[in-house]
Amino acid sequence: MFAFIRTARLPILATVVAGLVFVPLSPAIAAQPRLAAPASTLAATAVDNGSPAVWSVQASNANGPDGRESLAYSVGSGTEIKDYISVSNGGKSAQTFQLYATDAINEIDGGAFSLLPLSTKPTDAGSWIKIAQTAVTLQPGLQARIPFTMLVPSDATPGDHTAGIVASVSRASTGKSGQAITLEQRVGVRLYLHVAGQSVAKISTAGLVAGFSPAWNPFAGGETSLDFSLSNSGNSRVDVKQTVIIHGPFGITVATFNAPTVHNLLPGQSVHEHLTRSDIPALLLLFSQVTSTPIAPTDRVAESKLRSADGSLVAPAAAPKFTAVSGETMTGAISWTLLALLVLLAIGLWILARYRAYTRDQLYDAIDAAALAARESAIAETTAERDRHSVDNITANAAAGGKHQ
Amino acid sequence: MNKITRRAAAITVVGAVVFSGLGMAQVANASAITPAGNIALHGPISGTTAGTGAVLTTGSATSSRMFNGITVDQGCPAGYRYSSNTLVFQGGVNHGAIATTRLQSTTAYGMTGLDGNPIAMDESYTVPGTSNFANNKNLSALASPIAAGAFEVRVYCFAGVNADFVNDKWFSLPLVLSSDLSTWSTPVVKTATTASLTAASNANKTITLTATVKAAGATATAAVGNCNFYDAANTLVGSGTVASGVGTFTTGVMAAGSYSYTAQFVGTNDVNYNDSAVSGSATAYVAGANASTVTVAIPAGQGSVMLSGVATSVDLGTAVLSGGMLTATGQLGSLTVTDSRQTDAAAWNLTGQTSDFTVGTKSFSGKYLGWTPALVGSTNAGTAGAAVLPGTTGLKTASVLATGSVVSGQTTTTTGATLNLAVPSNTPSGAYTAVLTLTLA
Repeated sequence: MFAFIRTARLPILATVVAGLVFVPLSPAIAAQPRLAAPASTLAATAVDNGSPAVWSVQASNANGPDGRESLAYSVGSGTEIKDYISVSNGGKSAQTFQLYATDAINEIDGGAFSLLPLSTKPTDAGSWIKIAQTAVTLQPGLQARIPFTMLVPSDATPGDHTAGIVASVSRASTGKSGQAITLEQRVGVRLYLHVAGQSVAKISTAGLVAGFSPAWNPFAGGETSLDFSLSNSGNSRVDVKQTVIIHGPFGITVATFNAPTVHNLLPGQSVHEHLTRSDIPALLLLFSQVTSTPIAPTDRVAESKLRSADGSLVAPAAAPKFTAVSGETMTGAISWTLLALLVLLAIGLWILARYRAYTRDQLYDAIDAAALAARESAIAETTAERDRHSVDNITANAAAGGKHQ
Repeated sequence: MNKITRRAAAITVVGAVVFSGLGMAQVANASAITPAGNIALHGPISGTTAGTGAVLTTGSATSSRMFNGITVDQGCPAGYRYSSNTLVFQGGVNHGAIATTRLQSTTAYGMTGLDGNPIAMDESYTVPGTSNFANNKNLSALASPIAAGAFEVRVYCFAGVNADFVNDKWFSLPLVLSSDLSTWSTPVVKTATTASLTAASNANKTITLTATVKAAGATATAAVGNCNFYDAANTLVGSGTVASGVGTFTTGVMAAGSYSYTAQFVGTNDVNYNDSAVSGSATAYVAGANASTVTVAIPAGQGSVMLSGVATSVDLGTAVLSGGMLTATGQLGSLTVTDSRQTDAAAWNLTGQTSDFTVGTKSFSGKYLGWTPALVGSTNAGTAGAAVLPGTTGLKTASVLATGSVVSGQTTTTTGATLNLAVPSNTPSGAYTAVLTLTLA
């Protein structure tokens, strides 16, 4: 495939833009002519030479990476920030990297740090960054220190604005029918900007629902799950600690645990939290209370190397007031196997009772029958005796003749 | 004081009370008609078009007539249908009529509204021996000429033979007379603007000032005018014509140092936008030396997060019908993250996100693509992300391929993924394209 692209298709790919490749979905399309791809900002200048690109991007100064883990600034609005990134080609072949900046986002299911895709235009800090060049081609083993400027507008809102600057390599693969997926791989350096002004830390939770999955073992606890969305509605980047308390009926505390901390929840972003806890007894009803507490972000290097516009180190702005929020929900917690067991037990007892009743009836019947039989036999015997006596009497009388008379 | 005087005084007091009560009720009634009628002024009828001419929003204040026709979307209220007239008021003061009084009894005036039907009068109706009833003069010919600025045209509905401009009812049309008294027009409600300024120092030691005119948070691309730029001493340093909502100005060569500026949008007869307030300040730093890209051999001993990417992209092949869905799978090759940063550096995240799949005008959502990340090899420091099923949100939203941990030594993590596509079986066939973005940050 690769050799094929390189020899036969490279010119086409180069003009068609790396951003898009064709991926046919059905055999019917195999005969379709190729459609011209629309122009993309991702120019097809990447040299597709078949070996993997190996690269890194770092915060830097004019003399190379300076040990900062991320780009972090604390400035007023209307500030010009000048700084550098370094892009290093650690691969075995020359490589062209596209350079651009974009806004940071939280991945939805756990809050992992990510960046907007190229196709989504940044509107915040990512749009304030201008890199000296939009692409850099590096021979293996070389590093470029590339200046960039960040123009924080005069009306930038106070608080945290987070972005990333990436060096991107795109690879396209075209299937036999023309279907295509472009794989854009990006390595980015995080950029944390704090704009002076009133910092507000505010989080909110919504849609808290709980579920309960009983275990098969009727005497083991089940697993309870909590789902909710956690949003940062303030203007400050926060970590969020989460504590869950599960109560049973009558206020019995069943479990208290800390859920994993959500790191770097960015202003305006939401994550979907899914927390589970096993060994929760099936107490028919469970009340779950989730308390989310925002705390200062623990991204250590970002804070310790905070710079002002002229590059001097500055102390982080005073932390905003952190206010915890909590939500409560209820779920049924029934162990079906235990329930089935109880039902079976009840049925067993009923059957036993019925059996006992039946056998007792039979016993009584038998007794009655025996009594009857005994009575009848006794009667019969008595009758027979009497008869015999009668006969005997008669006989005796007969034998005695008229002796008595 | 005798009895009669006292009685007269009592009567006077009662009368005053009754009168004041009546008076108040009448004052409450003395207002524009509710609901307010929509007055429109019309130009001349073109050709044989019946009814009134085109609606006027501006016109000459000095030519023979202000307008040719007038309509109101309702008629005079009951009890105020004796007669009607059109007058000009400014600041609540009557400046005189610009038409002839219409009487209910004279049907030749057209639809005067005096029968309760919507008013629609035009010069095509003639009243022998009278001047035009719709409009017979212009603003400059008013008995008491008005000044420049806001004024109103009122269509009055009179209750009786004597016009009572306080207690009778009227419809009102607010208008504006130009400052040279030559033109009247309907007022435009202008939108407030703000100016957002950036100051960027250039390699040649000039400073480029860029002001974006914003209305309600969005760029006011239709703004007409200039952005004026002021230095820290509030002296105008330059101005730029606003184009697509942005005005720029580049200063001359500056000595090294920091310079602060402010900006203001000033409209040039802009009918849509008000001038902005002066923006907050923006500061540029002119450096002694130019920043430029330097390329060197990678120095040893610098910690970094290095990504060894995938050499080839993913091929999902051709989707086949399976379980009511068109499904396809593909392999994302291995990516290796080598983390050699300082101890305690924050954990890295390797995430993926797909665009929608498109071919021509057809497309389907990227949510139909999912993946199952898996670590490759046994010496991985990071952890693979959770499997993402196609269908709900899929890879349409960013999803974790792998995450590292807080650095405690040089670590390597190699991860790959199996991609699963499952689209509804009624998805149109085509050679779809998509972009899968992997981000290490």
